[in-house]
Amino acid sequence: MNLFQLLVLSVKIGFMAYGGGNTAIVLYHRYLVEEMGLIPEEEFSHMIGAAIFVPGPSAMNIAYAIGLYLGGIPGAILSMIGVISPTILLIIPLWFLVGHIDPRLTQGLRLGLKVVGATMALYASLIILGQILRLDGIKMLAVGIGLITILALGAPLMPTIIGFLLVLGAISFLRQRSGR
Amino acid sequence: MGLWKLILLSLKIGFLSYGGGGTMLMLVHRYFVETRLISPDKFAEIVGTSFTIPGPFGLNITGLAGYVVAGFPGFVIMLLGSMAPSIVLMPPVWHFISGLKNGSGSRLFKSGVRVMGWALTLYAAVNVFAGAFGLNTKPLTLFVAAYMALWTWLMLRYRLHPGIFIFITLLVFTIGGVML
Repeated sequence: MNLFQLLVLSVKIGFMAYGGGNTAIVLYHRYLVEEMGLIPEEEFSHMIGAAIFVPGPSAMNIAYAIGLYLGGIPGAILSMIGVISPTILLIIPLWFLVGHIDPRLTQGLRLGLKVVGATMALYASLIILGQILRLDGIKMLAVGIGLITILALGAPLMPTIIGFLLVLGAISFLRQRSGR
Repeated sequence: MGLWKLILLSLKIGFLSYGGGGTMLMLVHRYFVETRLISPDKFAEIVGTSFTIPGPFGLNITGLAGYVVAGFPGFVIMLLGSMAPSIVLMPPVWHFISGLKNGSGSRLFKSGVRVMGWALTLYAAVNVFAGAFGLNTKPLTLFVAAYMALWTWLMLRYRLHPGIFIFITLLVFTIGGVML
């Protein structure tokens, strides 16, 4: 795949990725792993892990990793530009449109935009759930702990995430030690 | 707000946004809405507009927030600043995860990372809904919840394209708003 094809694919995925990064990840997987076979499944799963682990929008993270893998630094820059192109081209014109229409029209439109926002957030989280649904016992435990701490207890977000990752890291370290 | 302050704020949001766009949404709420730079109503509009176009919605939200606060320079600053962490951190983390041995411990760690990502998106979905409609049993809230559940089910079960949902929803709500 040359750099131009990579840019075209990334623009295409950018414009198809309703719901943000999770949708972009699903689309990249469909094209590059399933259809073209350019990236091994194993390597792609590492990319997903890193994209969610690193702060920042996961669509940009996965585009960066894929670009780097397929075309070095130029590839990384081009695929990032491709994925972000809808934002650059559409968001400010759309914002003007929303602000400058007749108030009678926008009353309903605003409610509609809120509904769209909330639904797409729900949809994206369910897509990710579908990806991790191939669960074994240990993963189920991790799901339960993560959910209970964040949702039910209403725990403060950042300390919970950092603590959760530290505990998982410690468990993985100890299990690897004892495995030797 | 000075542009220099905005640069620092964008970097802060970028480096704190573990879990991608959903976390970015909450951080923008914390640093722009709770500090009264942007009103809650305007914020709900920003979120709705951001989900209307495809691509990484976290960047749509930060970009628009920057635009509302400081015009076009604010848009560019917020986009670049909140992308910077992915560019700096993505390569080392990806190589770290690729280098992990394939023991059950590192599998647990990797799945933990993904589960956290999922919990974060779900948390963001609840937050978007609560911010836009409130968690109550008013008829409007119940109607919206049922409407969202129906469309989410259609999109997941029959792989309906999200663009169709967005187009129909905005049309229906705009017409409804004019007629009522």
